Amino acid sequence: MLEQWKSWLTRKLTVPEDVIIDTPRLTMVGQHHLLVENHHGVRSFFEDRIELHVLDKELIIKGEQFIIKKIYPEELLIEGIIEEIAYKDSRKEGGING
Amino acid sequence: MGEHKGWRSVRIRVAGERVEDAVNECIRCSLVLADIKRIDSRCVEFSTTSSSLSMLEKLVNNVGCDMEVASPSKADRMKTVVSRRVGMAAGLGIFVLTLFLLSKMIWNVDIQGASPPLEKELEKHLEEMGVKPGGFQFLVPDVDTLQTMLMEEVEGTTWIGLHQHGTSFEFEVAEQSLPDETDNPSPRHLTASKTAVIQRIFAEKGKPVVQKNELVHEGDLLISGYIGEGEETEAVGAAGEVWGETWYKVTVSLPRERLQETLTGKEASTFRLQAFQLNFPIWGFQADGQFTDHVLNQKEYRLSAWNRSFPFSFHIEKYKERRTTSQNTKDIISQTKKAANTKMNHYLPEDARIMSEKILHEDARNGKVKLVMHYKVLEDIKSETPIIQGE
Repeated sequence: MLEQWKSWLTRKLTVPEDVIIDTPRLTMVGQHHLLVENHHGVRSFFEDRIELHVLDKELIIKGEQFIIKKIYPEELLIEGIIEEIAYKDSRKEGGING
Repeated sequence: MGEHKGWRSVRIRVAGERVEDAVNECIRCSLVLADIKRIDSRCVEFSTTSSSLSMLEKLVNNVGCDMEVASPSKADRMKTVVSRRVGMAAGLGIFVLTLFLLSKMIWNVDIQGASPPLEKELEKHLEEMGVKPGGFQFLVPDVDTLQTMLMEEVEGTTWIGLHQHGTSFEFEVAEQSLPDETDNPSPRHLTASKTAVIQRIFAEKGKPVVQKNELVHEGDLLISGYIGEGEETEAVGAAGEVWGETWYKVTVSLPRERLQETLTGKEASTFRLQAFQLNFPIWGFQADGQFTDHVLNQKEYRLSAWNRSFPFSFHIEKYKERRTTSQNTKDIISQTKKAANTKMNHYLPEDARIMSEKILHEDARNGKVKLVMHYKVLEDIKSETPIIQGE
């Protein structure tokens, strides 16, 4: 209910979505830097694959030589060679974390 | 990319089944992690500040992971290096200090130009003042003071010159050579040196020509050098004592309001080491604020070698409490009188004696006190006039 009301409000007020709701905001600089804002934690982290919790989904970043350059409660900066970014619905798959 | 810039940044390695949970826990507790790198399937490495280590350890243990420090922070590494080298640093410091102290010691006291007994006496005086081999230069008054003190204290010298060559003190003594009293003075008369009333006359040799209570003027004959009558007249060197009463008028004026500065005797010292432009206080931090009014006495000791001085020096600042009092009018008269007495005593020879004093005139005008004093003095009034033979 609250979520619906929030999304209605953002549409009406033409405010960027990430300001009001926890929508992730991704800023990618070239192929090597990716800044993810409004993340909800790291699900798994490997050199070639990073999975992050975002909102009710999962953000999967694939590539090579990943390093998390900085991590703050709501923001994280990934460095490496980014090849692929994808969303995956964790609820549809049943979720490993439950 | 692994090497981190932060001074206090420390590299941590965390191993366990769910290392991601450990990272999540950390950000939940707002610990800032940086440069997170996967080492293998069970292990990650990251940098954080060394101050958050204890909290981090607790969090990591909570999620069932192990933690170890992969490389300590630069600050920690510095600490270990310093603690390992502390003996070296202390040794270096002690060496410099010893060098400084040794260079500020007196190694040699050389006295030239004095006869052995005088040299002994001089040495004794010097030792009392601390000028002896093994003494410290900064415990000894400076060269000029030393020179004046010695000249005042040691009798039988006309002049004592003092040079300081590095760590040795060189004294040059010019001994007083008094002419021997001649037993047989050449023929002479004794005459009056100033106008006086004779009080006492005693002729050792010669014939007195004046009597007690007689007024004599300058140049008058007192004891004649001619003895014998008529043909047997002989010229001898007259000798004896002639004491006469003389008079002096002394005028002294002193300002009525006089600020007098006295040292109360309380003092405080500050010791500090100056290196380049930096000051390192060692002792006596509040010395300068201790007294409302003070006289500052500064001394600087600098280590120098081959005409080059080291960029550090040792400073001793001595603060002496000063009290300024204004002289009140009541005792200004006695003060002025005292000043007149002092003036008189300076002027008179040592064996003269003031018989009486009288204030002739007292005047206070324009903030000044003017005093005219009259003195009656008993003094030796004889002077020698040679008899030129064959007259």
